[in-house]
Amino acid sequence: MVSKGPQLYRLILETALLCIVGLGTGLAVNRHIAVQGFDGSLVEAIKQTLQNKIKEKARPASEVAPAGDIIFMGVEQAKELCDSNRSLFIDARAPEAYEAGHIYGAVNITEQTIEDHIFELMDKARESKVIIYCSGPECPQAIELAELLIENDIKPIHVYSGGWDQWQKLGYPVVKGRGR
Amino acid sequence: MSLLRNQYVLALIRILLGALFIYAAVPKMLDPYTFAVAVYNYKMLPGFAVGLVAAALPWLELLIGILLVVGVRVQASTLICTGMLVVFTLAIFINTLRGIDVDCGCFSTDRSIGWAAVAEDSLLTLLSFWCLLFVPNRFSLERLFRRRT
Repeated sequence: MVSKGPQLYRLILETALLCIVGLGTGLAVNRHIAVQGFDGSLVEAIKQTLQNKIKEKARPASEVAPAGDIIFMGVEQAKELCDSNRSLFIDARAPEAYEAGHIYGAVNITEQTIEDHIFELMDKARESKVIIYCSGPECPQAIELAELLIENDIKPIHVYSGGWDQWQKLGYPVVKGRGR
Repeated sequence: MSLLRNQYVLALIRILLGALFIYAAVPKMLDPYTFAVAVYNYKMLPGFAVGLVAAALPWLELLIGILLVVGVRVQASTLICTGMLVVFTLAIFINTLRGIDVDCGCFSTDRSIGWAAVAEDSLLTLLSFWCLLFVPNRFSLERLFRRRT
């Protein structure tokens, strides 16, 4: 059991010292990351990394949805959700690309057609995870659509950043044509 | 009761916990950026804290792991180890309840959270708490030095 009296003080002191040494070393070595965290550039860099430097959007910063509502996911998680039927995949690419091939179960919704689906999505989002993807890490459509949905209070929105290119390369289930 | 206080069992658990901490810390230290992404995806910390945690936590994990394995400052190391495991377990538990699928950031950075991760971390927390109650000094450098002096 934790000792009492002077030994307890010693334990507290040792614990504090170890924390200072461990955390201090980490901060000294990775101070650039800590600084980036403070100036806000880290969160931005994380988003960009996950999106592999997604193209800069034309929107003013004030219209950009809060970063906390977009959750990025990798292919393993996307595949798991696709298999589980606990999700709604949205293909944000152009209809032609969707018809040429899309993730099994995905629906095609773009910025142009979002208004037709907004109420359906509100209902779906309550019971399923909404996952948006486009062709790959560099395409902007998934993020732009995610921001539109968040503006309509549909959140959180998941973005599968690997997108169609990664999915089909891995040989995961796909569907051709307009059907899901 | 004797098994609970058995110094051989406790020492084994202490070394196991230490090894796990080292194993968990190294990939995060080598790639703090990916670990920052995992921390960010938990949606539990403000931006500035994501940077601090990603920069500093893996080093504390490594230090505690090494101290647990070699058996130096065992009680303090076990206390920090237990504290960290409690925080990790809570974070995973809360996000599993929220239904958010994020990378665990536990050992390898591409593993998802879920009830399995909650159970795993809870077990490790219990083992660490056990070591905190009955400090395992056997097979430790500290004990060796104490004997010689």
